Amino acid sequence: MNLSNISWRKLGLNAGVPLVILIALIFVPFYGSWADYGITLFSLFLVYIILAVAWAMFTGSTGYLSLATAAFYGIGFYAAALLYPAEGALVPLFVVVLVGAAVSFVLAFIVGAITLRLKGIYFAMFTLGLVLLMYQVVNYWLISVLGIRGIVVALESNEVIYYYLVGILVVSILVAYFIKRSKWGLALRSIGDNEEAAAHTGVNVTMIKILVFAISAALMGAVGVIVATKTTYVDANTAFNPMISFSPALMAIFGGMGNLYGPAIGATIFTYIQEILQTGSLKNYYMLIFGLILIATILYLPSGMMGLIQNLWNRIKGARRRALTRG
Amino acid sequence: MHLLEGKGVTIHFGGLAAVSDVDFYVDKGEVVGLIGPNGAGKTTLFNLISAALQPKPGEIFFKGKKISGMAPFKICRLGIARTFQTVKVFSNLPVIDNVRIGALFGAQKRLKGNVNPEVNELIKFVGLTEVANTPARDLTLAYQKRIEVARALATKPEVLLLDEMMAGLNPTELTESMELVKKIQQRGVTVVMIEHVMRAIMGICDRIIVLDYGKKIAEGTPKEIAGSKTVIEVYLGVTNVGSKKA
Ligand SMILES: Nc1ncnc2c1ncn2[C@@H]1O[C@H](COP(=O)(O)OP(=O)(O)O)[C@@H](O)[C@H]1O
Ligand SMILES: [Mg+2]
Repeated sequence: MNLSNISWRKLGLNAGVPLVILIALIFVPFYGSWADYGITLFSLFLVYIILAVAWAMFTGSTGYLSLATAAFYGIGFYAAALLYPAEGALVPLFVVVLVGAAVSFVLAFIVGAITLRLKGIYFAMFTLGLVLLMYQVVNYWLISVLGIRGIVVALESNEVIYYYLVGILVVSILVAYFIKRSKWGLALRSIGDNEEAAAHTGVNVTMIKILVFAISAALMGAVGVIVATKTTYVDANTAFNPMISFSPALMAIFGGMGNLYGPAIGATIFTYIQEILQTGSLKNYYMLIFGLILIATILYLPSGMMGLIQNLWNRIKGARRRALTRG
Repeated sequence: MHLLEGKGVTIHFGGLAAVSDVDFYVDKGEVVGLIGPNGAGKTTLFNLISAALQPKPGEIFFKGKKISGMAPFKICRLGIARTFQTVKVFSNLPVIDNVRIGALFGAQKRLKGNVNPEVNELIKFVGLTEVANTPARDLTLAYQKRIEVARALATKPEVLLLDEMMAGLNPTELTESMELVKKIQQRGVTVVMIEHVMRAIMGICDRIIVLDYGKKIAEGTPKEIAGSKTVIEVYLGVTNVGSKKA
């Protein structure tokens, strides 16, 4: 039964669809006249997909609502500002990415050790507080200590930025996939269902929560580094923007978190809507529309877009099976 | 040396001594009953043993080693597993994954290859094979209690703490449940069970400990307890023994 055709087909599907998507992504920059706009748009997709996937990795299964995304993303910005300034990079870009990820990991580990005892809304408030705290501390350090407002980061070409993002996305998906499929993924879900019971069943709940929180933070930090080389001017407002804590979370909820594709689909759709609205006359209505769609999702699609697709698919399959058995 | 032992175990909630200076022991292979009126401190004593709470003052030993102060997951891995009076299953996970978590994260002495055979065996052992792939939330309370038993057994415990496993069961389920406890004992697992159902307590336990207002007021064989004047006064006298079934 283990090696039946079905499981091989599943495996092929599991690896096949992502591979096709990956190859398509690799060729985006080569699509003729559309390429310049396309590469910018797709970079934006990738940024939000990575943030949504990283966020869902921790919150999707444990149910701990983290609003700290902007804090870790901002750390990436400042890793770039300090190690990759316009007047001369101190280390190669991939080292900056690793540093941004490592610093975010360590900060998340410490913050996690302190706050993951907090439950529900208290954890959410603390993580949002962390973003505001980082903002204040960095602002103070820049203005009062260094006497500057922002730092200019070396500009990277659109292609370099794009391929770095593809690389970080691949790492994010692989990490999310392996956590989900491993016994740690099962442990995370047990924590989400009943943390106390999980602890009494031998799960080291504190350790697992902190580790996965830190891993997801590392991915957010890595993205921050790359976005900074595109934005080039880094100050506390761009680095620690609370919207970065909210948007990916809302995108992941919209897409559905029961499945790895959910956050990615949610992020793609919302980034696109955002792009259209922000360049048109509806600029000011983006947040309103975003909010309305989200409320509708929570009310009518508790498992998000992916849940809806899965339901429809099951129904089609069910109907086909019924037709086959009857006919 | 006792398998499990408590010395002067005490805990206060505000001014209330929920468990007060309790000495107890459990020997290998026994089925020990823990009885007493509602609010006597039975569940709290389980919480202390499984380290959900820490005794203050008091000490708890497992195989001669002090375990008070350890984290709950460590207590579980050492070989003390429990169920909950108010069921705490992983409601969104199927039965099989509930049990699998116990097998994957419990006592870690053994090799961690494929745990499926032992998981399936335990699901069969508690009689849940037909619903193995059903999410726990869709099952009745009686089934959820059995999930907890299988999940606890999957951690490979030496001591199993059962908190009111038989509450709310109908007579048939009750008989099955009593059989189950006997079978657990035959697997070599020592059992401590909190129970109000006297038929079960008197029928299965080798020894009974009686708590009242946080204090241990009696201890002995079912026969001794049934004949003890103190116990009849504070506990058995209060509830009607004969009619107490569910
Ligand atoms: N976490 C807690 N906080 C405060 N009081 C508690 C707590 N747990 C139990 N108690 C109190 O301790 C006493 C013993 O409770 P419990 O151990 O649940 O009794 P039993 O299981 O014997 O019915 C009760 O008065 C209960 O209200
Ligand atoms: Mg109780």
